[in-house]
Amino acid sequence: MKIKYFLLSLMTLAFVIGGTVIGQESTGELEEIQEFKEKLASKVAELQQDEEKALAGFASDINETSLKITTHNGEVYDVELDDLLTKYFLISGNSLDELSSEDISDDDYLIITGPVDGKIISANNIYTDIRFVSGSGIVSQVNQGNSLLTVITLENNTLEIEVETSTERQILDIESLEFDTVNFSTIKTGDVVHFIYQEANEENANDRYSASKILVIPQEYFSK
Amino acid sequence: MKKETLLAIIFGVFMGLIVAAILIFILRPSGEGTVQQADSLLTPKGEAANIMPLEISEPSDRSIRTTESIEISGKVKKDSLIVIESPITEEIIVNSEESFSVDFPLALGENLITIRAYVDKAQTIPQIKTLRVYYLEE
Repeated sequence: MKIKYFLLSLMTLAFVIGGTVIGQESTGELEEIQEFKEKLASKVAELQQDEEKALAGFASDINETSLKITTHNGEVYDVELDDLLTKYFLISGNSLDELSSEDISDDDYLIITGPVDGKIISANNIYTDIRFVSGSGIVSQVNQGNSLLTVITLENNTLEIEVETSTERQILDIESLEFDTVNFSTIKTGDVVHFIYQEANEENANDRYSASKILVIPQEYFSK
Repeated sequence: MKKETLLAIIFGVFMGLIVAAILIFILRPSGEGTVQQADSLLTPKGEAANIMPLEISEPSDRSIRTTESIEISGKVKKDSLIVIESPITEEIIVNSEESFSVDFPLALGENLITIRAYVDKAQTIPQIKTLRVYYLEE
């Protein structure tokens, strides 16, 4: 009798361990399937996001069926135009004005939406806009007479930034960490300046730029 | 063969199977654990905190938006001075946590958004990320 109970217990133990091992394998497979599903969903989301991207650059080689754009990093894309499908707009402040294909000319800054295949984009919509460039550096010279800042950038280039009456000028208040408007006379050598300017599709031989906006971080912030 | 001998053989085989099952399936090292261990050996925690670069998780470069504002989120060393600028506006924050998030307005068309993080007050050189986000009404 004792032997029968002993054998019964032994068999039960063997089944329990066997079941646990098989169960673990099943759970592992389920986890792998779940992981695969998540990867697939992430890839689909990534592809969808890719489809919702735009390209922008200066226009050239315009003809009835195509044009080229050169992006800010020098990449050239062929843009395919379609008489019926492609629509043209001018971005003017906060509104869009519809244009025709004849209104697009060389050196216009264009934003293109549509499917991209390598270096070819089939344009659904084309928007003409303004291209802005941003930069920053340390003020090395302040010319009060003609409101000119000489700035040494992070890339060790020397630029001249013209501060016009229309330039939006702000300075960081190092106590409150808020921005205030600033007079040109307050800016001094050693300050850090962030600037934004409009860029046209032409060579700027003298590295002088008219700033749309400057933001100054006084040198005292860094020595506080 | 005696009954006791037969039972001893069966008992021995079962015990062997149990020990083998334990060794093969339960005590084997998992691949995941090994990888994690390797990671921790390659990047000591102290150094990782010091060299943490500015990362922007949202939005992605060249993305198209149809709303007037976006949420800019990312990670950088905590207590950094983060300045976010576009041609139309600017925001400034000091992040108390490594991750940060800012609601940022968009202008129609291309929005050049520059994010600069001054991670150290002794350094005038910021970490910089530049994004172009397109707010387009179609």
